[in-house]
Amino acid sequence: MSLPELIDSFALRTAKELRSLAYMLGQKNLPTRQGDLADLVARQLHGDGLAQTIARMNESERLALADAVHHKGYIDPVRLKSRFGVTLRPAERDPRHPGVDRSGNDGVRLLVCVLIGDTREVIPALVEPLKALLTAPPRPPLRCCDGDPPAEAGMRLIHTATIALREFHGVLRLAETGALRCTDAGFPTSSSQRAILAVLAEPDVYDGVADLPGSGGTSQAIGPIRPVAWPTLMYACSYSPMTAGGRQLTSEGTAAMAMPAHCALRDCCERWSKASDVDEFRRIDAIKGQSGRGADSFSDPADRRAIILDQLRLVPPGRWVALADFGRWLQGADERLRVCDAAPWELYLSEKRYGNLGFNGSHGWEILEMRYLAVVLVEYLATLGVVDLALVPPWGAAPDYRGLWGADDLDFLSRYDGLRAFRVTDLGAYILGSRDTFAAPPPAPSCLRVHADGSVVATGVVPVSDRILLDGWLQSETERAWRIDRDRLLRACEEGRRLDDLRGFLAQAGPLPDAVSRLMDDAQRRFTAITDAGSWRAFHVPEELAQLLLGDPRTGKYLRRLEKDQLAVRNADWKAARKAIRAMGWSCPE
Amino acid sequence: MNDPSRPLIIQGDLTVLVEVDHPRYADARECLAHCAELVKSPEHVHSWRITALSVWNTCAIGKDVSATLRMLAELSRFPLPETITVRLNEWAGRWGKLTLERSPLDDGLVLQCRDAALAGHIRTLPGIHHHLGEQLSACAIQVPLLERGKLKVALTRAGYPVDDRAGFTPGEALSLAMRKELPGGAPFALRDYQHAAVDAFLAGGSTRGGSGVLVLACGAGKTVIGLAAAAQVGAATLVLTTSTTAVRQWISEALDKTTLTPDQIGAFDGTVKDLRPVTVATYHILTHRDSATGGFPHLDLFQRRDWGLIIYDEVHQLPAPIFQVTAGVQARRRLGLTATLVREDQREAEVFALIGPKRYDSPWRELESQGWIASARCTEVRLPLTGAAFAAYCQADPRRKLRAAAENPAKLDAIRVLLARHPASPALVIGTYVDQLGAIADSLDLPLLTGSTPQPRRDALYADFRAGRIRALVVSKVANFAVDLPDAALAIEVSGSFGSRQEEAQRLGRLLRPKPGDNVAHFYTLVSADTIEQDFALNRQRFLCEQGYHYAIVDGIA
Repeated sequence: MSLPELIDSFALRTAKELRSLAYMLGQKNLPTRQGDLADLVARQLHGDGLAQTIARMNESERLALADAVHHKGYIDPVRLKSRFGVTLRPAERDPRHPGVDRSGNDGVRLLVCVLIGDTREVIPALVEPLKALLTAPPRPPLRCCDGDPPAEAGMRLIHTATIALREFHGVLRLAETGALRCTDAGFPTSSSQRAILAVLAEPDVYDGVADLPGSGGTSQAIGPIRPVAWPTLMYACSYSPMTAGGRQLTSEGTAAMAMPAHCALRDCCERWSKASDVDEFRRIDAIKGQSGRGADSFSDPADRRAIILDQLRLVPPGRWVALADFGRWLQGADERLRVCDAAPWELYLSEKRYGNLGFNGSHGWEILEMRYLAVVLVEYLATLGVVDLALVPPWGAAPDYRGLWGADDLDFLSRYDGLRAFRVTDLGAYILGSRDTFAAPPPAPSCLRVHADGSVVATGVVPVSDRILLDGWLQSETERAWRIDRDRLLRACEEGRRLDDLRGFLAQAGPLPDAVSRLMDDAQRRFTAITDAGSWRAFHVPEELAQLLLGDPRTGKYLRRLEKDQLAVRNADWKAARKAIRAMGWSCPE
Repeated sequence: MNDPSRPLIIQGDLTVLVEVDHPRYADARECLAHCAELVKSPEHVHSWRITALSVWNTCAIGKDVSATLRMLAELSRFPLPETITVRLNEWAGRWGKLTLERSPLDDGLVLQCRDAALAGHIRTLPGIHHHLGEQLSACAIQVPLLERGKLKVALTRAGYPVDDRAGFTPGEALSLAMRKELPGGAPFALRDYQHAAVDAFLAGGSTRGGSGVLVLACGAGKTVIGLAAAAQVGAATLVLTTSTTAVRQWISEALDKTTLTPDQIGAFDGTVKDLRPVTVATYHILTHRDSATGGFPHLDLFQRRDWGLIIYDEVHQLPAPIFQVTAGVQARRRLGLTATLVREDQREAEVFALIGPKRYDSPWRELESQGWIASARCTEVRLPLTGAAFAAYCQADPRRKLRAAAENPAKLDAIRVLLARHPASPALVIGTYVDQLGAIADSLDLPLLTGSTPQPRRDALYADFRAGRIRALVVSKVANFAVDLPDAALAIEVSGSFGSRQEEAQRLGRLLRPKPGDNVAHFYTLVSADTIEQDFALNRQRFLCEQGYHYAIVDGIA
């Protein structure tokens, strides 16, 4: 930084302000002209003067200044508090002498008045010199639990990775059948939620929790979590259109189907994180007014997810982290998680006339951001197997919302209030990209037996997801027996399924008998033998004219003879053919 | 519960799956053999089905169904479906409610009902009343002797099986024994499973035995088992079989394996009508009639001698008129022999009621693994149909497309290659269309054997074939049944009757007699690729695949 630049940065300050600054910088005989004062102050902060000024600050102030210059150039009290546990007491200024700090905290006075001014922004011209003098303060490590999280009544630890690996393809197969539908907001219909229960490898997060002591007598139900998460993910990732009719798997879904489960989960997480058209915050259904005008106050959910995932990548895998600790740590992140871009005046609890969340103190970090974080962790990242969960029942688990208008009848603000801690799994580390590989558990031995006569028999329990696949491809004969049938194979191919999926699936049971393998090859060949040649238009022509048109190079290149007096032309060539026919002195009706 | 240490998977539709490689497979098979029908036995998992008939089979041989249920539960990987317990108990409960006994006055039969209510009820069942005589008591109803079979069939169809304990007439005594040494000097003895089959049929001579069906693979020696049963009974025996050739083979086997002399055994067919203590007749001659509305002049064969045993060869092919006559000979011992109980006409209930319950069943592959029948290597050779033949196929009427595909000229070269590939194997070229077979025989200079070939000529060809003077025979459908060609080790099927699984199995059966050396036979089926023949071939092969045979599929032949 050059001195003239520094002088320029003080040039807009009043003479009174500059006099006060110069006084604080230890100058006695002050000039009277504003320009001279600016020159004086700038010279005092140039070179060694700046170092001397920093030396007069205390540790917290230096930390705050260092973080500011190495971050975004301004002091962020929330960041300071959450990241370093530092609270800067504001300088108590004498209104007559703004440079005088009554608290006697000279450092703060210097920090506030000299280096940053009232906007908390460091004087841009000083940022680089300060960077040279102050090293960037390292971010304190995230506090992790030693062992399991502290026990609480009703706490359950949910290990999610295996479940996710077992469930993913099943859900995809269910989506393929068209059994899943989504509302306009991207969340599944109640019938879809019921349908998906069949493919869950393990019970839902809070399954059976109503039986826990003390949980009875509440009017607020927790509701499904994974049955909502999976279809939402399928929709958000564009794996399935989730609409009525036709095959319900897109090319992205088909590609995911062909991937090993852990790769597909990684792909799913990546796609979901970028989806802007589904906002998980909607799952906090106690907060109303989220649609309509209320929707305008929300930030882009893709940005929110990106911040959370970035921070999760820094969490050591395999160690439990209290939600509160992670929340604080997240607050200290370089990018701030914000659910709403502006005060959410349209959001309210139970009844809008009782007050809304736009008022100060009603939309704080704990109410909006921490609730959102819990949704993402419990409903989506746990479903994807990224994090294990430690939860208690949500009723009364996080009572910080009690003071809000309209909260009197709520036993919890969100069904995710019971989240106490989480742990990034090995699978999660792979999905988040903090590890390049994941050692997928060996697949369970297949209980299917494929016979040369084309029968497929299950000698054990067939997971519903496998049953969906088998029913989609094969002719079901009994509850545990299917038959490979060419007609059924061709029908499945026509529905858009890939024969290689079936081949790979059956091959898990051992080498396919030659007859079965050939049957599949044959079906594949027959499926691809006939291809769509586009649509054609046929028209009647007198026989002699047909001969003429076919013989002329201008028209002959477009025309094919169907009958003696019938010609056909591709729809795509229709206009050109008409034009050519007209050029020959004839006309085709439109 | 899913206990993989148990081999049975019992499904709600009463089908039972058994893992063949399971350590307790033998226990499972033993249990199922008494209470279920083997539906198919492919390589990994065999399928059985429990039916009313199979349960009554269990009861008929004196097995306790509650013990069977306990056994099933003990062997079942998953909890028994409720339907199994309910249906088995319901069906078993029906058995023994009706017993047919000889009248104490020996003037007919008495149907004993367990209670008076049942006696009243069965009279109300449709189609029953006219088979019954007068009411002797609250629980006893007189049955005319001639109604014995018809009543059993009608009651079985109505769901009330009859435990027939009226016994059998001893029949005309006949001194007959199995040889211990064959005429050529080679030692001879029944195989273990043949002994077991005969014992199961006779049930120690009790009234529970003496009628029933034995299910064995082609080549497993059903003829020998029939002769052994006749020897045990020691009475005049009528053997009914499918063709004149088969008649000759029965007679030849009887003279070879038993102490019967030529004057004790006779043929009763289109050319010869010898009524001897052991008479072998064709179904065809028995059901022959001069006009479509005329009577069956030879059906009285059943009554023309005091038969102590009637043997029904290939019982799955029993024609309808024979059923009717059999209903009238229920006082005689009856033995059914077959490779499969599956009937295309769904008349298994008649077989059960009139011939008797299944007494013995042995999967083909088990006999093969024990070396009693040859190991077969099946190959489907797909040959392209090209040129004029393809054009003819494309233009053929849908009903004639199969023939157009089957008569693919490329098959001739393929036969040449296959015969050259197995130079030491006596071979059969088997087909359906006589014109095609004639052309093949002419081109390859091989003898042709069809339905019109006179019997002396056939016998001469068989003799030359056995002696090795003829390398290969071109045969039509006449070779499908009961032709005994012990040295055939290679079969080339050039055409077949649509999707007939039975024909495919019978043709393979021609090769299954044990072979010297590696005991391996080769079965090739030539089909025109991408034609309707390929689809039919798939269906034809299903039965054999269900029996655990693999078909290798090759495109073209080098």
